[in-house]
Amino acid sequence: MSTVDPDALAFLAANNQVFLFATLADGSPMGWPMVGRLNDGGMEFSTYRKSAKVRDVLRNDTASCLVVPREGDADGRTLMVTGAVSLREDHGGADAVKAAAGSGRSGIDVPKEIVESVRSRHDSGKRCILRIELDELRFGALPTSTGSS
Amino acid sequence: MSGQKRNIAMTPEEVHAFLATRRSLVVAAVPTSGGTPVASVATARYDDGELEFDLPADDPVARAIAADDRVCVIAEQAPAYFEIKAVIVRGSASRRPVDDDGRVRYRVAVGSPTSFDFGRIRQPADGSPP
Repeated sequence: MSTVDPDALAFLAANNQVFLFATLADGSPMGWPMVGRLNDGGMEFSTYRKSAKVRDVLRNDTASCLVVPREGDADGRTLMVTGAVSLREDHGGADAVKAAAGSGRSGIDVPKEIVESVRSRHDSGKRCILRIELDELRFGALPTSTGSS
Repeated sequence: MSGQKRNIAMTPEEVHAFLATRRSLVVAAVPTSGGTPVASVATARYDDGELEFDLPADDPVARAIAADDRVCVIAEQAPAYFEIKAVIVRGSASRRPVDDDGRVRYRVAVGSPTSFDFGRIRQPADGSPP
């Protein structure tokens, strides 16, 4: 088992604003802004099982995501994660609710009714968890004069 | 609650107004045929239906665009849950003339992007005002 850079793990644990990417069938890139969560050594995302996103991300064996600090955060770094992708269940929605609530230092507050809706849709199987393993990690930098996107 | 699916997409006018406020974007490209996208945050500006962005010449995304100019560009704001907005543009990046500053500049047409505005979640599903 490989060792993940502790600095990268700390960055992922602290930041939940994430852009998820996949390669479409025609070879072009596609991306989605997401709330992501570091969980058990991988990046995880709650999403609708029947969404085009799930089909697109699972089309290939690997996917990637760019983790960025929230606007106004002093950390000027970004972190690109590439790794094996998989789908898992989250009946009860416990992990999704933690993600929605924002595990990072700079997460936004998700309204209670939205959290409950996410939990319910995990219970019913409408939502699932997409997971990317931390196979490759690369720090980047935000543009110096602009802050986050 | 109605079972009718809620439309949270922005109007074209809202998309253009939102993009005009953005000074940075996330840009993704695929480095090799069949590879996994790489992405970086780029400085950007919106001009008459096109997004212009620039990257350091040695950025992995700039190197990927040199091999395949197809990009996915995402503009997002997320100050609070119901203020989350995003526009996702897919297209081909055309390289612009370069200043001698170690950066490369590109333009991509906005066309008909995917967008969402979480503020619409609080509106009735039939689209009438809240």
